Amino acid sequence: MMGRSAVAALGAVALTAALSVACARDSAAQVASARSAVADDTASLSRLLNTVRGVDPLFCELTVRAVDQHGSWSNWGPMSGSALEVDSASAALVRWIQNEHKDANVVPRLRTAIRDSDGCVRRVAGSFLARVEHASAKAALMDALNDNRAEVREVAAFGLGMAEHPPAVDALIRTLRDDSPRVRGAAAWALGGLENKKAVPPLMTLLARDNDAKVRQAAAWAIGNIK
Amino acid sequence: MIDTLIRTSALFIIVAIASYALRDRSAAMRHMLWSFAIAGAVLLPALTKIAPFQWRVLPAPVATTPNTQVESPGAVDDKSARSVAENPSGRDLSSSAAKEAAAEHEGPLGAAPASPPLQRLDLATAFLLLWGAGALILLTRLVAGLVAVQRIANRATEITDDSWRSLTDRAIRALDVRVPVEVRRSDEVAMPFACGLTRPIIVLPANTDTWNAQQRQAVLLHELAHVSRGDLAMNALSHVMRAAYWVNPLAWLAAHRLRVEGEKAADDAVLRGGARPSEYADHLLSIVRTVGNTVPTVALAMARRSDFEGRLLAILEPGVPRDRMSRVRVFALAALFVAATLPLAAMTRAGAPLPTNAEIESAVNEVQGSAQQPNTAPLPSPSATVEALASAVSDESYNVRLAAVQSLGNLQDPAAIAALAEALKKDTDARVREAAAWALGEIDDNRAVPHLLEALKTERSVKVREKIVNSLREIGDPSATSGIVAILRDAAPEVRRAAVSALAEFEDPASLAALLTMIRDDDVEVRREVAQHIGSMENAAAFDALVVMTRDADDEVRANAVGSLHHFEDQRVVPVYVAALKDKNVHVRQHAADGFGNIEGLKNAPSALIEALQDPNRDVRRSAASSLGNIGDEDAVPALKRLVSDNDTETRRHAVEALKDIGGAEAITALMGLLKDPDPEVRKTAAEALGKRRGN
Repeated sequence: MMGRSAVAALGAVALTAALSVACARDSAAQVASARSAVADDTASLSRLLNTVRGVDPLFCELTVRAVDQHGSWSNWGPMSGSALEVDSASAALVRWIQNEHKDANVVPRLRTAIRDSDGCVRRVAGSFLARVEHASAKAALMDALNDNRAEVREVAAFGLGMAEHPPAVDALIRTLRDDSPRVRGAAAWALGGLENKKAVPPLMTLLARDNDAKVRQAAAWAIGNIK
Repeated sequence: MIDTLIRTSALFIIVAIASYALRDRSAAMRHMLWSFAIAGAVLLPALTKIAPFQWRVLPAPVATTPNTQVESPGAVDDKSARSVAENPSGRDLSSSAAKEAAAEHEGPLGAAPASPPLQRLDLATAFLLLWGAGALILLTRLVAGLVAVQRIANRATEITDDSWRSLTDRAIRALDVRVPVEVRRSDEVAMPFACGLTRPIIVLPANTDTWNAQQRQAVLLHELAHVSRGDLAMNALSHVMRAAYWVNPLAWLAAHRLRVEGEKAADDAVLRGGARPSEYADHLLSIVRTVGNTVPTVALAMARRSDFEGRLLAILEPGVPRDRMSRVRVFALAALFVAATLPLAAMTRAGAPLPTNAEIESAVNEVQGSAQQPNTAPLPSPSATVEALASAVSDESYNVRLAAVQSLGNLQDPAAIAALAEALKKDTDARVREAAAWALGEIDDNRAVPHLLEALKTERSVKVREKIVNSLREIGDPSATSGIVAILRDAAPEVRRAAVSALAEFEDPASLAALLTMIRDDDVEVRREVAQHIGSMENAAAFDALVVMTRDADDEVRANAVGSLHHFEDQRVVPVYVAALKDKNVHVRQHAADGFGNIEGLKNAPSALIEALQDPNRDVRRSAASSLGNIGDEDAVPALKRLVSDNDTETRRHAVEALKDIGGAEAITALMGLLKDPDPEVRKTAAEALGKRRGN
């Protein structure tokens, strides 16, 4: 003796099967529309780079952090004083920064920007390359690590640390012997972020021998961060 | 397995929300919804197999295969990015945020390998075994219950009396019951119930002959409504479902709600049959009063104690829709239900499939990349690393020394204690000494205690002394007690605060006695901390000290002191609380009102407490009502009756609760009157109070 409810429950099963077929078509359409949403990445990137060109070092620092810390942005709200607040399009820009970035189309632009004459443009480009989840972005950072200008190599080393790109460990260890103390310091910080134990012996050497205090400081921090 | 749990949980949550949204509709409708949920939960594993599309929303499986592990390093860990970014600016790493960051750095690239798959498998097997064992026990209990109930029904004698016959026939026609139903009588049970999956039997207790015609009709209508609605089968199915999903608390909720709504729907059938709500409620109350729970839950007993108050209220509530479900409505509800839950069957795990070619390429590159660079470099032994950092502790640059000290704190290796103690004692820079004190606390080893205590005696910087005391608290070694007691006379309030909270944490009676000397400290934070902690000493000296502190100039000190006095449950506290009830601060008055409730042997309610029922603050009124309930003095009843018309709902509830606790003729009369109170909240609490009193 199945009661009314049990009969109705069986009816529900039959309806489920029927409606499932109808819904299958919709999901295909959703995938297609999601694909088209990434079209204006290059335009947004250009706007970002123009915004930060020539800004005050403090503004630049805040902007770089905004790019790095995208994950915690939603909790903290926009950082006041950031260069991202100077024009009316900033809201769109902030939203764009908070996106996942898998669009390889932006990489050529960033590859140029990391070699820009403006310091802040270089730093923002380096941080951004660290965020683009594509092999070509990592390759661009690795290339920039061999640039003949120290300020480009420094930004590239930071970027590789932030990107947590494991294959970069060997290149960064080589960079610990760079002529520029700023580049050596950046490489040490990056190795601390990558947390590969292989980097500890060279960092210990650096801590004992380097004649620049900032470099030794970075090495000391990095050793403590690699457990 | 876990998928099914997630799916069914989502199903139950959807239905719980829907049933809340339909709270003003008939119980039959909500019962139908819960029936769908339970049937759905039973059928979901099968449905998932036949769903024609997949919806990727469930969490991806834990990374155990090389394929998924490759993806993680590519993702940017913003936490580590942050610490990389912050450190160049020379931020102080000795903060707790740095500790967190350090802890989180055991991330995907850290040395710690995932636990071996074998161990994980064993855990999974153990969980499955536990699940299976639980299900088996519940199913066994279900079968035993079914058998026991069927035996009682078989032994019962059929009722052939003509008056019962005609009543039964009328009820069967009224409810459109299409299966043959037997009505029997048994002297083994005290409560009417229905049972039998294929051949329904209604069993009545022996005393039914004393019931009048309306009462007989009500009982028959109620039980036949269960039969006609298919509640017996649905109830059994819900037991099976609960046995299968017993690890999920929502399954228990679903089974419970099904039962409750089923009972309410059956009650509605009685009321549709013309019974008067007040009389039916009275009859149910008398059934509940006379019996204990002897019928297994697989039978649908007429009145069960657990969900009784809710039913009583639903019966008495005017304007509740009591209609049964028409065929059209059943199908409309079914269609809605399917539309809402369909995606659950189609849910599948996000992850593995659908990568782009570029992603595959980069994944392959990364695998090859790491294969070309095997991690063959010899790992330095921890002491080599510590040694390198220890020599940097005497670097000429303060920045390097600071970073080295912080790194030694992060590494938490006791081998670093000597170097850190040296830095704490001799470094010329206070920031380095502060970091060294912090790092020794991080290492958390009691061999550091003598060094910390020694430095505490001579340290000139307030911040460093504060950090030293905090680290001693962190290490928690009792040998530090006397050193910390000595620092209670420190000139800096920050240090005294740190010392007081360290001693409070140690809970050593000797150190608590030292805290008594702090009750007149200049620093208000120190006094607040002292007032909060000395109550746990529970001796005369602490009592006297707390009484002094109830007259402190600071509100929070007084409130903490009165709260601390709750540790003393004898009548010495009465005059202190009476005085505190007149305090200008709400928290002081509230703690005092609360305190009266746990004084041992207090039989007469102080008039000050009864007057507190008119306190301008509702929290004080609530606390006073609860305490009066605990004391149980009938003198408080008139004032509590007045409080029932308070404009704050929660206060009214407390007043009704207190009346219930006090008991006695006057309180009971008051509670009976409140069953017809215009406020549903008060009616509910009054019904609960009367329902719980049934045994007395």
